Amino acid sequence: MPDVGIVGYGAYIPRYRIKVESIALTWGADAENYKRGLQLREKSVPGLDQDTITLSVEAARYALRRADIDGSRIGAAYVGSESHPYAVKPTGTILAEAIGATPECHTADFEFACKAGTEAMYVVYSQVKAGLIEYGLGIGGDTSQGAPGDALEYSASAGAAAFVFGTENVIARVDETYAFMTDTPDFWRREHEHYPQHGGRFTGEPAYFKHTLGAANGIMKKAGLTADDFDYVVFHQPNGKFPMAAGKRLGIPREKIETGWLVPRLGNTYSGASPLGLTAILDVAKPGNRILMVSFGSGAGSDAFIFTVLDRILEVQDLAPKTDPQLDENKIYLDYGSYAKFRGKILRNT
Amino acid sequence: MKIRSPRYHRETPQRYRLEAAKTESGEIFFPPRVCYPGGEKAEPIRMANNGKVVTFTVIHTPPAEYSDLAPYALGIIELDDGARITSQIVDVDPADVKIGMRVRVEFRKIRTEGDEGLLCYGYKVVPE
Repeated sequence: MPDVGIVGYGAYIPRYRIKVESIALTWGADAENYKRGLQLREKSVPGLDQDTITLSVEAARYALRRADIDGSRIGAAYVGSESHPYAVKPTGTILAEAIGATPECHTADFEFACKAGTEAMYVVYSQVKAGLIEYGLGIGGDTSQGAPGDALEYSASAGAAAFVFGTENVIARVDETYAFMTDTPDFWRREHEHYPQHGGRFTGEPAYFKHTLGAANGIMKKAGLTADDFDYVVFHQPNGKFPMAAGKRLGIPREKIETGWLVPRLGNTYSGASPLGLTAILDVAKPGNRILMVSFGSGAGSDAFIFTVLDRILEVQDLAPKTDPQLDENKIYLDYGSYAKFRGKILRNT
Repeated sequence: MKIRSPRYHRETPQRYRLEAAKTESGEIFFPPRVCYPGGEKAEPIRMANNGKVVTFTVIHTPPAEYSDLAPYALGIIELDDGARITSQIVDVDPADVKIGMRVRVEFRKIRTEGDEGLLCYGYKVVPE
């Protein structure tokens, strides 16, 4: 059996940002309290001409560049998101057309709150491993929305990460996968509602921590590994606190999580969150490094992966824009009025 | 409402993937044509993703469907393979756009056909 794993990866983060202070000022809230409680300073905002499809296409193009393959060789392209632009019409067909993968390509749109991106990766990996396709794209991307004034508005952000899976020129081999899920009503959005509802504190212990820790412990047991065996760990990051608390309970030192802990500068990119964290890790990883990735999606469940980084990583890291520079450079800050316009929160006659 | 998507759909290869046509004598046509000068044959090619601003203007009074974007820069971009395209120049204050500025092509939403119609995608350029 040949190595199966990631052969190319790409991240795309919009340039626009809004600071916690700008949101708090509008709603008369205490910015320092939110910054301390959520452990985040600012979040990304999609431009007026950006959505989950455009972010996913750019991430996919970067991933193909690193994989050094033409889009026509992609046999399956799956996009996981909770903000697919159409209610009915696939994100995947537009993406596949834009990267030149059509017509011989299988596409599907995945949804599972913040876990949809790793679902896409999970299924593409399985298809490559089964020998059904030569290469496949698994993408997590979102332009997530929080209701005006709600705690979610401070964190819900935008970004996408794409991974080409294959068996030739693997840069990060998949050593193990594991899924852990239950029916848990921690966060939802009904049809025709603009913004999601959430269970407040209920989103922590019975939802995020139960599933994240369940998946992390489950995959380590399955693989016969312990927390000490990993060089980097990335968890879903709805705020700054949760992933660090999960790490502490698993006995993982903070410095192993920090490389993929983007949320203080990025916000919560939902389906893109742990995948974007993984891209930041791959940007600096060295051959032989072992990575644990655990996503979380409300509803609720976690997907877990163990990767081992291979020699080819060093050849591809510089072939496309890295994640940290996209986060830290060329930022354009918005005031709340511009942000409300960008996100369609202003009521107008049509 | 008037739906213009059939024409837009026919233009997908050039709008989504910058597909042009290169004739036997090496001339690039974008968008591709039905026939070429001198009866030459042409092959589809994908144009370069980077280029520079040749000239531009700033639109302050746009058509209604672009009104949220105003003011925005609209320019002629010479791609690195020599072909020229017309494109919005975004993610930059129009006051900062300069002739000769390096840009790269990104996939963006061009317009929406009202609240019920199609979302139309294509290319715009951003500073490199």
